[in-house]
Amino acid sequence: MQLEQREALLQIDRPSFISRAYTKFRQWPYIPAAILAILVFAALAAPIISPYDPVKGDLRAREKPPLFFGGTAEHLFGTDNQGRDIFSRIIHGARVSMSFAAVTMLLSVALGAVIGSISGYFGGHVDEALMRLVDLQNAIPFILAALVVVSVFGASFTTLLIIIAIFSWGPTARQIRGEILQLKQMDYVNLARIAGASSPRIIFKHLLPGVTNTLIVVATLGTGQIILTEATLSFLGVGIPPPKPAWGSMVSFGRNYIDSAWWIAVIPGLAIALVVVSLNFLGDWLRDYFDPRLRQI
Amino acid sequence: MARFLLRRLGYSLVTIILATVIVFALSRMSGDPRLLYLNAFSHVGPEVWEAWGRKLGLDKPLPMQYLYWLRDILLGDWGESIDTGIPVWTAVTDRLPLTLKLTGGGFIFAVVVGIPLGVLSGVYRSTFWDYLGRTMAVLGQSVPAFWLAIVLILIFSVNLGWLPAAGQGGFSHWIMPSVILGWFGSAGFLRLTRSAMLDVMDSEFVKLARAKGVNTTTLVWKHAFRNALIAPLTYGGLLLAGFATGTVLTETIYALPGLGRLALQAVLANDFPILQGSALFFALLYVVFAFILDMIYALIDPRIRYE
Repeated sequence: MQLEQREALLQIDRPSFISRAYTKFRQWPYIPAAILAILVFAALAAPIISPYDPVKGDLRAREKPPLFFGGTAEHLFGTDNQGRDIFSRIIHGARVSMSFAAVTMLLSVALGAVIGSISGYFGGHVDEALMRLVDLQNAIPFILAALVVVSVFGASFTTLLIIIAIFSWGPTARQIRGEILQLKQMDYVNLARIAGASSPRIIFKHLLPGVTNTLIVVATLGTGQIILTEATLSFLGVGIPPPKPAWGSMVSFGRNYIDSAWWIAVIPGLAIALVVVSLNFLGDWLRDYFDPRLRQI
Repeated sequence: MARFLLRRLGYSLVTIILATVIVFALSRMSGDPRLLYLNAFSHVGPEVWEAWGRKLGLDKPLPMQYLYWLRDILLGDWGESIDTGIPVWTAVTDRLPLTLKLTGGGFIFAVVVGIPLGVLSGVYRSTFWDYLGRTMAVLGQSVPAFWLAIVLILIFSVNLGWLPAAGQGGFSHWIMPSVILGWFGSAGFLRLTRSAMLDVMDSEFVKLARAKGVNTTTLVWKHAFRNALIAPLTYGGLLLAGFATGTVLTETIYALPGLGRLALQAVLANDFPILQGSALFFALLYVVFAFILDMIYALIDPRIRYE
C-alpha cells in the first residue's frame, strides 16, 4: 500500500489530540491524584512549610498583589488587608478544610452505609420509614437547620461535623440500599440465613463487604460536597470559627475588598474549586474502574 | 393512577408533618425568646415575664405547645414576629414573590443551559459540544457558587460595569442572581441529560429510526430527547431542595429582600415565629413541587404508576 494511502487511512481512525489526551486522562487520573497528594502533604506539613504565620499579619505589607500581577515572590499569592500572607493561609486552610472533610465524610458514609443496608435488608415498613427520613432531609432547608444549631451550640468543629453528617448521609443510604436489594437475593446470603446467622452478622459480614467499591466512590465524591458545604457555611459566617483560616471565610472576608484587592477573595475560591474538581475526577475514575458498566450519574 | 396519586399524597403529608415537628424543635432549641426581648427593657417583674410566656404559649409542656402551634398554623394564624410585631404570614408572603421569581430564574437558567448542552454533548460525542458540556458539568459541581457570585460581580460590575452589583430593579438585576442560583443545577441537568441521551441513542428504536432515514434533528429532538427526559425530570425535584440554601446565599450576596434573607435574619435575631414560618414555607414549597414533579413523571412514564 502506498504510504500516503496508509497515512490517510490512519488519519481517519485517529482521534483528535484533545480526545486522546482526555482518554489518557481518564485511564489514570494522574493530575487529580497529584493535586490531592500535594494538598494533603501541604496540609500535614503546614506548620513547617508555610513561609509566614497565617494569623499574624505584617501591617507594612498590606494588600500586596500576587506574583505575576505586580507582586513579588516574597508573597506568592499576595497579602490581605491585614498584611497576612495568603499562601500561608491557603496552606493552613487546607489543613483545616481537609481534616474537617475527612472526619465528616467518615461519619456521613458510616451512617449512610448502616442505614442504607438496614433499609435494603429488612425492607417493608423499616425501609419505608427510613426512606421517609431521607425525604425529610431534602425537605428541611439544611442551611436554616445549620444556622439554628450553630446559634444554639456555637460554631465549632464538632457542631459543624455533626450537623453536616446528619444532613449528608441520604444519597449514600439510597445508593447502598439499592445495591443491598440486589445482593440479598444471592444464594450465599440465603445460605447464611439458613445456617442461622443473625441479621446484624449478615449485614456486616456478608452484605457490606459486597458494597465496598460503591462506598469508596461515594466517599470520594461526598468529600468534595462536604468541602463545598463547609466553605458555604464559613462564607455565611457560621463555619469553622476564626482565627482558624478556613477557605470559605477567607472568600467572605475578601468580598469587602473586591474592588481594591481582588486576590483576597479569588485565590481561596480557586483552592476550593481545585480540590473539589480533583475529588470529582478521582471519584468518576474510581467508579469507571470498579464498574465500567456504570455511567456517569 | 389514582392509587399512585393517593400513595404519593400520603408520603407528602407524612413528610410535611415530620417537617413541622423538626421545624418546631429547631426553633425551640434556640432558647427562651423572652430572654432576648425582655432583658432589653431591664428590670422586668415576674408578672410581665409570665404574661409574655402565656402570650407565646411557653407556659405549657412542649408537646402541647407543638399541638397548639400546629392548630394555629392550620387555622392560618402563624403568629407574630417578636422583633417587629408584623404577622408572620404577612412577613413571609411579602417576601415570597421575590424568592419565587429568583427560584424561577435559577430554574430557567439550569434548564436552559443544562438540558440542551446535555443533549448536544450526548449526541455529538467527542466534538466541541461534548468537551464544552463535560467542562461545564465539572465546573458546575466543583466551583463554589458564593465564590462565583463574587467573581461575576468583580468582572461584570466592577470591571465592565455591565450589570448592577446588587439590589432590585429591571431585568439586568436578575441575571447574576439567576445564574448563581441555577449554577449547581445546570451541571446536574447536564450530566443526567447527557448520560440518558447516550443510553437512548444506543437503543434499538433510534437505530430503526435512523435506518428508516429520519433526519438527525427529528431523530434527536422527537425520538430520543423525549425518552431521555425522565431522569432529568426527577432531578428537578432534588434540585429544588438545594434551592433553599441557594436562595439564602444568593439573596445575601445580591442584597435581595426575599424569604432566604428573612430566615437568615430571623435566626440572627432569635425571632422564632418568623424562623418557623419561613422554614415551614421552604419545606412546603419543596413538598408541593416534588409532588407535582412526581405526577408529571408518572404521566410521562406509565411504568412508574404500577410500581
